[in-house]
Amino acid sequence: MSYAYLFKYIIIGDTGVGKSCLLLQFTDKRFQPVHDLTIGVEFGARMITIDSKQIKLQIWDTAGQEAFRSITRSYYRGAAGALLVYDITRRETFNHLTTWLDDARQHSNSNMVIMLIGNKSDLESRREVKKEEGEAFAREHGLVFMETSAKTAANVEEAFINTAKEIYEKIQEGVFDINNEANGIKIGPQHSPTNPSLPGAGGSGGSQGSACC
Amino acid sequence: METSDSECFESADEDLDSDHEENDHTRGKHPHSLNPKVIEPELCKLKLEENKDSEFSEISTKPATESSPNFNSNKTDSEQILILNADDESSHNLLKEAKTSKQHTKEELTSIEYNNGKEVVLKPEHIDHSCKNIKDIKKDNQCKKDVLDSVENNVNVPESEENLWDDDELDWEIEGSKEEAQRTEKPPNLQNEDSGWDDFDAEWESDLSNSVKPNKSNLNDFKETLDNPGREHEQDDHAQSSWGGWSNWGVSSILNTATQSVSTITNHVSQGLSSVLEGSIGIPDPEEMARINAIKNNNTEAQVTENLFGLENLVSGVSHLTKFVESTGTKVITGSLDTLEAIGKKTVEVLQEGDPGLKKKRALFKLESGKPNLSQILREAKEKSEEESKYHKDNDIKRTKNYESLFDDYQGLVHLEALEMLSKVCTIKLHNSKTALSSTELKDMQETLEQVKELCELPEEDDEDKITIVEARDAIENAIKEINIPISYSKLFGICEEANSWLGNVNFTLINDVELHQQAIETLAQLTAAAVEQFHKTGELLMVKEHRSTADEADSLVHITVTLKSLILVEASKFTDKLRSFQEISKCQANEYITNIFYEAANSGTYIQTAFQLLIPVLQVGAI
Repeated sequence: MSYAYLFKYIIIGDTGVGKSCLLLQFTDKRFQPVHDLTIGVEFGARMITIDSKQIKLQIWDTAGQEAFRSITRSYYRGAAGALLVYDITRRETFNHLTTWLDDARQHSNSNMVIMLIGNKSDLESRREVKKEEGEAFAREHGLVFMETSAKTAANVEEAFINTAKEIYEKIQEGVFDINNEANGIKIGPQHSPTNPSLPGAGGSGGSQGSACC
Repeated sequence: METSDSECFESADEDLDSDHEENDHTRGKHPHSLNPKVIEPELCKLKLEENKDSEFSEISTKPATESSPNFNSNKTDSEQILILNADDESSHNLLKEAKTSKQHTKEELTSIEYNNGKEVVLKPEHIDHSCKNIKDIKKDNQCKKDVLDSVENNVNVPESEENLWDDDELDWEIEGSKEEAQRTEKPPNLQNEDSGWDDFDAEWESDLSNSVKPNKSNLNDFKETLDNPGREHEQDDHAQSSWGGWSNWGVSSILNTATQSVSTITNHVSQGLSSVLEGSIGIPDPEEMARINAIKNNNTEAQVTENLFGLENLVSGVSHLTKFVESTGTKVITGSLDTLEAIGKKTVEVLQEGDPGLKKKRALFKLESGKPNLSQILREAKEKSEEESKYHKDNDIKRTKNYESLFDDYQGLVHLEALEMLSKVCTIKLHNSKTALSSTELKDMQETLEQVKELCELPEEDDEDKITIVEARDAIENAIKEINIPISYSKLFGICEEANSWLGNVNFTLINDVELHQQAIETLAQLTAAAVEQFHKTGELLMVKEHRSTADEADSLVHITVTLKSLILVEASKFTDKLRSFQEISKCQANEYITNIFYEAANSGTYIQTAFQLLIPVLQVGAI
């Protein structure tokens, strides 16, 4: 359970592009064709390994509905990575990318790694946005790009893990200040010095003490 | 003197109705008499222009009717602040009186000289004292009915002004000591008044922190005054015009002594503010307070004036000046006062302009660097215990987890963190909308926010009501109807049922106390995480809800919080009961486990309550 780092991710994009399904596929390795509309934000977490280090991804899956836009914006803060998702079968979800991108850049730290994801790649017959368009957009805005299918799980692991790798590299390069939690990175328990003066720590100590007698 | 004054005053009160005319005249004298000082006549002039004759009767009546008969009781030091604040009010009255007097063209030298003896040396800062003395003098004169005819002292005044301008400059030096003395005399008051603005800020920021500072009373008064704009209209007018006057003096003192600048202005401004209030809320009458204060200060002033005997002569000589000088002098002074007023107003404007910005920054700073978040503390606690468990657990066959880790695993921690973010966003939103408001609107808003906070006060904990799951479910379902958003606590009740069935089927021969304890902790962490999640969802849904009804929302959330807290305790005691019966079979350290379960149950209650309190800014945003 212990980890070297914890990365906070946000998943953003229009409603219905498959954000929650991507998360479910990544955390539970299953697909749910009918998904309730997300209210505000939902969470998922999974442990991955990069460079033989345990990294916990804590994923904030935001609501795509316009009504929640102002709320979800307040969750951007402190994210180390973002998955910006559109639906390759709906052109308008691709057209809205600029708005999402501006929003994300404005409300999060500048070092945040943003992965552009064209989801529903399994629905090739209904495709409205060419892969090249996605690639061009990503190139233009300095994003990493990938087409995924939450249904078939194609590229889903890679999308999350490649983002994590990018963040990890930035840490190695010293771009991210890992001691600043506003960057969306938390150091795992074995790295952080313990602070016995915290009130919560006393409680847990008590609980631990009794549990192991 | 004191006794006779009050007696006269009282008798004057009684005579008031029959004696209107007389009173007007009587009062009219005093400003002049007392008024060697330039400023009062000038302001009188301004007043004259502003106030029409129609107001006369009201003006003359008001001070008298407002005074309560027993002023002697109000003399304690603790009331100094009120007294000082009251000075403005009395100066307003003074202005009115001066105006009255202007209409009479006779000279009343006796009273002038009499008063000049005392008042010649007054500085801006001492206007309040002169105001007080005016009261005294007025009363004296009322006693001596022979001085009924009011004076055309305006002639004297401008002239004395002219001379005194220079004298004033000189007096600044001479009076330095006196000012020092006075300042040291009333340091607590100055302190209070200066810090009034800070308190104002603090109050703006105190949405979350309940720290109530002692000096807020002035501001609260201010708010109350603003609440009744209609009733206070007249006073407001006076206050505004006198603001200009006070600010002018504040500015001139800046010019003379840079060090007193800000405090002087603030002092005056806050005095002006509070005086507006006091008249309106029926706190002891300012006039009367001023009078009492004046008596107190008589000794000090007498001493100072002795040194300035020469000035006294000068001023009495001045009183013989002609009308020609009057008109010329007045023009000059009006001009210079206008300039001063402009400077003063600008200065106050600049101060007020700068302040909101600072407030904002301070507020933001506070939000950023304030007390550590609960989610942060929990996270660190979790990490610490995880680390500990690594050392301890090596020999343990079964891996046990502590409460914080479990709470995190069930995503209670991250929901709490997100809720904290929402709460912060709402707090900032509230703060930003405050800075854009006029003082009246601000006051209304503060009241609304306070009301919301009051609605969210949790009732005293009542250990007696052991709630059943069914009761809890009903209570929460009703509360959800009231709050009218699609939240659901079915997950939480599912956890309860699961725990109950686990407890019902548990086989003591197959498990040990460690497992029982672990199950208890896990249930508590799971229940708390589910509760926090619903509080978070509630916050999100309230923020997008179209038609808010804050009272219902608050009431509903209070019910949910109370219900959840008792539900947690009930669940915890089910486990501890089991542990006790288990203890009878096998001697073990069950007591320690029982204590720990209750400890974590209390923690759970605290987290739930914290989550609820994080929603208060969300409710407040909905209320404005």
